[in-house]
Amino acid sequence: MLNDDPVGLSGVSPMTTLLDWLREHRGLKGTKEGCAEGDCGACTVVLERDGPNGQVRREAVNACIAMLGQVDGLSVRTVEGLRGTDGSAHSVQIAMAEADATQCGFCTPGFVMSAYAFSAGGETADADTIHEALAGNLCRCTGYRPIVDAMTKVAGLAVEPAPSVPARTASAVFDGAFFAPRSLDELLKLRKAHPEAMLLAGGTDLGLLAGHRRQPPKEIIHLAHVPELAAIASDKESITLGAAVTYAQAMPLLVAAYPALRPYLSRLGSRQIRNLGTIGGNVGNASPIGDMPPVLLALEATVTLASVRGTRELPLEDFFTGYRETALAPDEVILSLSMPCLRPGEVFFCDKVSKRRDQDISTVAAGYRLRIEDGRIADVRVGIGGMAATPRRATHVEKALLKEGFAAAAAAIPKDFQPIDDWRGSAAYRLQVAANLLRRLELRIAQPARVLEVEAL
Amino acid sequence: MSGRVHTARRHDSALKHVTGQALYVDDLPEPPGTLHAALVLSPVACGRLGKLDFAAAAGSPGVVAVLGAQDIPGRNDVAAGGQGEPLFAVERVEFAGQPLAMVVAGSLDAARAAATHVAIEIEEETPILDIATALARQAWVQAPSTLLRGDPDAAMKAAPHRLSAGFSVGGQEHFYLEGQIALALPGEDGDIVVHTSTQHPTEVQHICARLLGCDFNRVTAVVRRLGGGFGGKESNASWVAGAAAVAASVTGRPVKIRLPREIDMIATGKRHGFDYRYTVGFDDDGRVLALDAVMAADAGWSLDLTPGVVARALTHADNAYWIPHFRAVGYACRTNKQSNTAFRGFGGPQGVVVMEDALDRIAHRLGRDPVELRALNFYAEGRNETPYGQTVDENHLARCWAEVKQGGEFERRRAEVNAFNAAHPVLKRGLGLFPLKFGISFNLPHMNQAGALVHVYTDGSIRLNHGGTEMGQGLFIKVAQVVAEVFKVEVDRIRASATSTAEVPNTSPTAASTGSDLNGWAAWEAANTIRQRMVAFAAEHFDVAESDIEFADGNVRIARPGSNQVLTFGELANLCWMGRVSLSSTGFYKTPKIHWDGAAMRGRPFFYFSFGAAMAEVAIDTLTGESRVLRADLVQDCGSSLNPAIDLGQIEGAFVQGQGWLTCEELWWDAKGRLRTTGPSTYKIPGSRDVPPIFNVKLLANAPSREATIFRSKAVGEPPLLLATAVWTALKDAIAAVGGHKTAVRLDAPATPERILAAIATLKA
Repeated sequence: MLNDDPVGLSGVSPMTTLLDWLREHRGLKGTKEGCAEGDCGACTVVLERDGPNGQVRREAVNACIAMLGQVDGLSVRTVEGLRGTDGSAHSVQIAMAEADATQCGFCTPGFVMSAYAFSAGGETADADTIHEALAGNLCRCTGYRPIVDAMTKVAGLAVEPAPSVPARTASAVFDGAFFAPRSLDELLKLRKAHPEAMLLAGGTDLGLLAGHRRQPPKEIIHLAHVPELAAIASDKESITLGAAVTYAQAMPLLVAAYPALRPYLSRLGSRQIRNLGTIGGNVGNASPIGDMPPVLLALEATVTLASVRGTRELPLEDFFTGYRETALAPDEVILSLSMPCLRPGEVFFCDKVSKRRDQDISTVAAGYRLRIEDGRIADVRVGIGGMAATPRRATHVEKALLKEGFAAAAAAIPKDFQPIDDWRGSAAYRLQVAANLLRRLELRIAQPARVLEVEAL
Repeated sequence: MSGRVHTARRHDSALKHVTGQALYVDDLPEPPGTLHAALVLSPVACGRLGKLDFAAAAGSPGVVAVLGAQDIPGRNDVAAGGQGEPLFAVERVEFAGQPLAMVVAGSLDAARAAATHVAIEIEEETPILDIATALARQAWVQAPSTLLRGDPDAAMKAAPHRLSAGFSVGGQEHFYLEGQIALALPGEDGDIVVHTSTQHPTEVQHICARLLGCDFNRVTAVVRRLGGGFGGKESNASWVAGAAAVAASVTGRPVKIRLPREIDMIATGKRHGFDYRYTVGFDDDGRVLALDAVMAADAGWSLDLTPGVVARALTHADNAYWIPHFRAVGYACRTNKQSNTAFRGFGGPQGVVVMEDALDRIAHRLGRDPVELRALNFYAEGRNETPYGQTVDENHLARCWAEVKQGGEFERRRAEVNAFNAAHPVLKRGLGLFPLKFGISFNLPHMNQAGALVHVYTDGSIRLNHGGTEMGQGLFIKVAQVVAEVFKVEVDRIRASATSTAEVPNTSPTAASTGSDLNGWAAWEAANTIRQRMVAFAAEHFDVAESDIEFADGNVRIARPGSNQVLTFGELANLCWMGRVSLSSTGFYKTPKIHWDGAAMRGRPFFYFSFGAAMAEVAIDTLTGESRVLRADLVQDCGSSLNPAIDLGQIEGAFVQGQGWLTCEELWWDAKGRLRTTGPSTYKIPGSRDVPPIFNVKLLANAPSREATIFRSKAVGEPPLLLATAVWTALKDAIAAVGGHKTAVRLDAPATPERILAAIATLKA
């Protein structure tokens, strides 16, 4: 479905980006290309899909890194599709115009679509929520103040009912190269037959090949429609997330279990990214600067891998074997990730340091799970990212925390990590920050009521 | 009656922006047969260019042509000011990202794919990648220039106190959301129409003609709107359009060139980074007696617009302060990097930081309040001549300063910040104030001219064209308001049409904040000429005195004894036509009073000064170096604003852009000179959360311009960007709090978390 009209496609590659298709094939020029890497939001469109209780979820996504095959069976709404049948502007569009929220106007359609998703979501118009909703959209002209003002006006605006989304239940293959299985069994067979195919969950990384690099993969196996991979399960002991569960879907549960993840996850990518991106994907691509691995390492997460040969579970730290290398066999897929809930006496903290608060890749990211007994650290796990070729546990730091205290732990950072210089920070800075974050941790534990971050002021 | 001058009026395209109906160059329908061009860039920063082998690229699917320097019909030079800046490199490459050739193909993807197949031979040499190395090797793009007054050496020697310091500021990527783009359409007899996203249509016309070897009258450059410019679409848009024109000319087919973000960032120039070294002499009270400064700009590999940037940096090093003895030497360092170019402020932001740094250091040395010390040194009666000889005769400094301090509750918050800093183990807050004086006019007098073309139709509707480009800044609505004021009609009666070299020729770029000053007056002249003709005709026709004819509320009233006759504006226009009166006129304006001797660096380069003041409060984390702007209070002089809503948007947007330059926006080249921050994932402009949560912006009230500007308004594009200097000052204040304010601190910009942590470390050492 595109702007309420059913669309059937042939003669167009499923690896075509949604943006290129909208602009070049459909002539819908309102959606803009600003970066082709999912970071500026000028290409934002809204996906409408079935949600809980028969409701329709409206999710902002970046059309520049979404591939056509991914939106099969979904409903796409663009800036053109917000206008009424009589051509009148939507109330969200009017609010943006009336707030003087446009200058050059090139980013505007993307902002309008993010505002529309925000408005339709029925969220409150507090500053934090608004910034979270806008984190995936960049404006270079206005300084954002009028856009934020417009957001306060669109919150809670009545939104017309969405079209019924055709629910596809059958598996699909497009062009003999884009496989969209609907069962685990089918997926594992496909994986066995096509070990070279790229696994696509949300595509927020893989989509860069199509959008930014213009070299789409030859074969793709799309994981999002496999029920086992989309499953979320939890009990008092643990949480299990299917590998294709998006950040947006996992966030409520994760934040409830580990409250420190709330600000952390809301800084991970942007809503556009979290609406498509998956935690399984973040683990599977094994980037040393992914934000989930450090906290998952601290949380003692395990990863379950599946193949036609069966399943196996291994600790996450054993999954990362080298720079962007993993223990995944050619015929395997990640089935799920599990992590134990906090046990009595356990606390969990996490930190992310980056040049910009929102939607930036971490210079250093860290997760800490501690058990404190009688004011002493009885058990601790520390995962740190951005400091080595893989996200890693800080074993020397952990030992020092158990035996010698925070100062010694900070001094142990260089034993665990030898980072590199790059545009996000020098090696020296990364070492210093990782050490200083242990001082922040100490203060957090000693003075829980004190505000320790500039963002909280 | 709405939409006259001095009223808030929405951007004329706002509804089109929000509905996605505003068309940018990439949205225009492509004529059948349109080809797409992709650039081939140098992978290395410096070396001797050997053979370029096009064979594999030419044989790639969909490729129509692969064009290099030898295929350019005219002169291979796209220099804006000087010469010797080739479109495609010849013999040498001078930066990683320099265009070498282009592939023209049936689709953009085909062109991009083939571009990777051009085999490039380069004999690599060691590049110069920083200002210090360029200074040491005396590598310049132009000779050093000096702005001198008095005898700074003697004054320095005699001064009771002296101090020396140095620091640096980085460059800045424009990050216009719409990348560089042009669509060239070949016509008969070799004519070319270029739809271009440029701030300088006339330069596009000239450079296309130069590359094609044809007369200027063969090239028409058309610009409806830009998706952001900020100076980045001045000279850089010209060569991009030139490439499209060459490809269209050679292939005889329409050619579009759109630079993907990464290519755009790698191939185009940015704001100049600067290194500074200065000595300042002062008395016991903290009055500055002499300044001796070296200001070294990173020009990149070529001249581009660097002379103007350096001149503006030198003429803004005084900022708001009277400095009796003054020497500033500007170096334009030649490095093997992108050729740096215009960026909002054009050297002004890089100029004013010198005295702001010096005054903070003087305050620390003397144990004085840096805020009082600034005011003590302001230009004032009897101390009001700039180092280049222009008198600061209109002076709102003290007023802006008082208003920002009062509105921002400076005294109370200073105490609060100090109390917070005394109590908190790891977070520190800081306050920074900044006074602004910014000169308005192009530094080169001849550029301060503009033309306009106004037609009145017989239904009373009006078509307006002028040389200025609409890049989001609201120029079209402002100039339309001027015309509405002349005819006393609703602004909706006026249709502004795309800027075109065929309608108004020989224009200056829309730059230096002068868009509405210049084009507003030119449009006024054109409209007023028509109005005068209409009045003269009506007086004769109705047999009344000209003074009996009044334009008001879309009507024209003919005052007669006993009874007034009222016509609509359109009715009079139709009557004029029947009476064979020309209802079309050009208008022309040149800024009066200005003159400049560039060699002596003396004169009156600026028609007037724009003033302002800012107070910023920040917080830093001494563990990570993270920072946040908590509050900003701004006062900006806009004269009698033509459109307060548009001006407010300019002020807020400029401030946030300036904040980005000084904080999170970092350009990073690797050891081989390759830019590695090439997209929004690696180059971080401010997001909505980075805007100060308390952000109070005021236009200075009751401050009509003393000079005869258009309806006594003032320029607004660039000055408020400099107000963000207060953020940098506040960050230094917060860092100094770590050392109990005993010593001043060096903080290079951009003040990333890493630089803030490094500055803190210097205090702890």
